[in-house]
Amino acid sequence: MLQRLPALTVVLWTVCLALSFGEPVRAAEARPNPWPTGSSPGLTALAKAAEQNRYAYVFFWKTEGEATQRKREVFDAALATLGDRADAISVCVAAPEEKPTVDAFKVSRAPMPLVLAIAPNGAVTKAWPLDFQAATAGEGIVSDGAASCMKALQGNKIVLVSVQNSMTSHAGEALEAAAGFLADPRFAQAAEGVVLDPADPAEATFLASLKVSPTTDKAITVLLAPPGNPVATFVGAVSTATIVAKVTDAKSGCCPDGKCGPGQCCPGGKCGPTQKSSAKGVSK
Amino acid sequence: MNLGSLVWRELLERKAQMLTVAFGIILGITTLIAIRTISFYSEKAVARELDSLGANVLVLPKSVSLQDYYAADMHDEVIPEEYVMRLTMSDLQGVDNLSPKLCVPVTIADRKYSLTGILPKSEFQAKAAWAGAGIFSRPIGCGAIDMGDAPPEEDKKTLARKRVIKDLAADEILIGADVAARQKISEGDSLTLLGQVFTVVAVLPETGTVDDSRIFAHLHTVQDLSKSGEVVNCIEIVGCCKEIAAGLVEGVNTLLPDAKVVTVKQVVDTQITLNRMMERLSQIFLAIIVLVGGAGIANAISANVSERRREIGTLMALGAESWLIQRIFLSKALLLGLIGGGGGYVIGTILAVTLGPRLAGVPVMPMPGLALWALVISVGVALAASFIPAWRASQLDPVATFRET
Repeated sequence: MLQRLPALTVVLWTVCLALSFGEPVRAAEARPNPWPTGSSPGLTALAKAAEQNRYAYVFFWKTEGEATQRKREVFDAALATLGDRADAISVCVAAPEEKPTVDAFKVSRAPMPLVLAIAPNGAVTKAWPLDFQAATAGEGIVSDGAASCMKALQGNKIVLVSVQNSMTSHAGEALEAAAGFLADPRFAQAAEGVVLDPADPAEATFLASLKVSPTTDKAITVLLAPPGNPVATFVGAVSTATIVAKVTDAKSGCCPDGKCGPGQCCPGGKCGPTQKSSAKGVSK
Repeated sequence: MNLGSLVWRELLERKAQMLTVAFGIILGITTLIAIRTISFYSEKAVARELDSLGANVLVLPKSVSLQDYYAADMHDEVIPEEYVMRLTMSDLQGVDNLSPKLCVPVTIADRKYSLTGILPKSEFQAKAAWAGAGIFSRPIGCGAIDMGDAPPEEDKKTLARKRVIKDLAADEILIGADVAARQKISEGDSLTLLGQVFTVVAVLPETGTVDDSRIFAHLHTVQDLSKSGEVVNCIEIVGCCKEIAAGLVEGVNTLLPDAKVVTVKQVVDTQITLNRMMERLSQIFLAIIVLVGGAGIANAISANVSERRREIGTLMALGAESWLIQRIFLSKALLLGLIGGGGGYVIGTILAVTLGPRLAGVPVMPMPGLALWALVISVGVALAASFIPAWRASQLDPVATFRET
């Protein structure tokens, strides 16, 4: 019986995951194309790249000058090094037919030339205003987990990242808490859940940026707020009430990280005791 | 004839001389009161602004000289609006919020106001998440965290306090308290500015700053209506104190080498320097009052004593005591001091209230406490300056004064 325990845990974990997250966001999962086709050449090219699960690197430019030409050469050379992982798209922001593309990203007033790396799910994974360099081109390609989080964050949503697998303890409680939070009517429209396997090598860099060890033996839940702030990290068991308390605290509190801020928060640099984090069971 | 009528008749006897002396005192006290009143409200406004904003950074055109923080965006020089995007998409830490502004003059019922274009946060907020995967490693900023689910109806009046607004439609405006009061505009009213009809979505609470005389609209609308192009006069950055100390300003300088980057601390230092200069100036005027006013009074009373030697002698021969003679001249000086102090306070206050908002860009109110101060100074100077001539008069020998004729 004991020998079957790991296999049983995997089955239970999978069932629990499926039940808890109505539509679990998983890496490399089939997703609807984020871009409409036919409205503009740029968006059509983006839709094509997304359909083929490839990244799109969009080169936005305004006027054809020497600087633009030089940057375009760098861009073309850099994209060549990325091979079939990314498509190169060129968009002139002054062209009337590209207005839908420009409006989609609100880049009409951006410094030009501007290069955006866009994941297949539609998330902008990196922007290079003015100074696109071939050496940093690869930074635009991120893991599926990071892209999922970025997509939600860019939609001004908070993200609950559940890092767990069959080997982590308290996985069920953590998932249940996350599901409870995501089902809460106060947060349902403004929050998304992402599940990551700590042992997935593709997510190692992303997990490292979240300060989560790939060898963790406890389930970890990370709460991210726009634009990408890790607001809280819950190690092991956590309850929906604790997550809600942390979110409420961060929304209303002035010193989310225990630091005093300017203006509306803590004038004079002194935080009142009631303004500091009141969420219990939070390790940060 | 009592002492009062004696003094009054003595004053009216040489009207031109007394008017000149009184005018000297009034002039000095007027200047002193005006400077002190304007300085007081200027310092108060800076302190209030600093308290409400905390640490802040201003990005301005290089050629703009920073004289006054409140009017920092009221100039003809511009910087490209794209600087906002550069800041938003940069990996600079400690930028909590951004507020670009473009000011153009507008006229409502023959009064000039500043139509200030502001960029709502929704225009650039998402771009903060374009900085790549490294964004997850950044420390949490210093302000309240945006947890996505903002209240459905944002209180736009918070612009006055937070400097940043979340959403603002192209045909919406926010009105400063002073504009609303003078033009009798309230929320929901329509207002035509530069040929476009706007809806007033909020009347901002009074701040005591130049913002009370502003009308806020969407930056892109103001740019289009004024045909200014994609430019702004200034970008206000709400920065975190810690990061400002750790080099945020240097980071912004590196990112925007063609702009001038100043912190509010620098602005406040400039203002404090200006206030200190005003303070020194008022001290100089005080010295001038003491020297010139005092000398004038002393001279007038001395001349008066010389001219009235015979009358003084007659009074003393009739039994007047030295103290009475002294009181006559000291009372005359006291009256001059009271007229000078009172008149100086009234005129100085009127000047400060009318000229203060133009000179310092802050509303100025009368300071009744300064009235006592003005009276004490002018009366003190007048009494001190006339003490010796009055004492000399009281020491005159009546017999000697009769022999002189």
